[in-house]
Amino acid sequence: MEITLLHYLALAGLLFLIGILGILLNRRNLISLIMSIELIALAININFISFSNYLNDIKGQVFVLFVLTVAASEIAIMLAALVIYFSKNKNIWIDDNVSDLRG
Amino acid sequence: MIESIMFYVFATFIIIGACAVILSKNPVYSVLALIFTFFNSAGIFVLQKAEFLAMTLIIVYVGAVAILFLFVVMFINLKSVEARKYYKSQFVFAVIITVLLGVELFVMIKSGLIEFTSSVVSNAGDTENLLDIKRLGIVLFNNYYYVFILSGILLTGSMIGAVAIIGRETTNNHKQNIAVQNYADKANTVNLVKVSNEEGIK
Repeated sequence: MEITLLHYLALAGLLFLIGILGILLNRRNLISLIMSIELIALAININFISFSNYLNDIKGQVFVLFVLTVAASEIAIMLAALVIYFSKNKNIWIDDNVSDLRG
Repeated sequence: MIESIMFYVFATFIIIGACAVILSKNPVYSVLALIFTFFNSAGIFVLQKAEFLAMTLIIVYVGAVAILFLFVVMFINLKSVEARKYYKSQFVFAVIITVLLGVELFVMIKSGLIEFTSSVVSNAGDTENLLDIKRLGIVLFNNYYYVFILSGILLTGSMIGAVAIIGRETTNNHKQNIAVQNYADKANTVNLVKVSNEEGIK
């Protein structure tokens, strides 16, 4: 049985759904939330590379490179904010202290 | 044949790893499952003839991002934060939303709404038999050089932002206090002791 584009798309879609489920189910901590966002970014990367291979166009891989860059910088900022949040509140639950957010 | 076997192996491991990321109680196990998922998706990338990006994924994600996650998880000592129970209504809501999204994706793929027949010609010209990294470099540095520069600016800005967030909020940082340094004098900084012979400093 040959592997077609649809197999890769189905894999990426399943990974995306697992990421969404991880965000919605999560009541425990912010770190699992950030990891679910990483899973979603990975699903998008798999989609980009599948279409890049299918259309024989290298631009998909260029965009994967930029997605990697943006995800890495986003993770750095998020984890810095998480450390500050923990040192202030001594927990990393999501639903307490939401009213502390201003802006 | 071997490609399809490898695809199914990698895909199964990716799904198992992703489920372990969102379901495990201990965040350290979640991070390790995330690393496992990244390795297997690097295998998927290799199957799709994107070898350079597979290596980049391993170096950037496993080498930097996942280790950063592990560092933060161990740094904030989650043992003191006990796990919280699921609410039943939230569980039902999450499953309903996810199933709806899945049905949407399935219908969109199956209905043939997207035509997979049109072929896009790459701007790089006759680069069919070059290596993957060479084609990537040609397109990246010819057509997308400004985005490349912008991503460099973005990385610098995020680094400065992270350092600024951490450095402003921590209380016992080793910041230089110039007034204290200027008003230091001999009386309260230097302590002269007369040490008698064969006694040492008590």
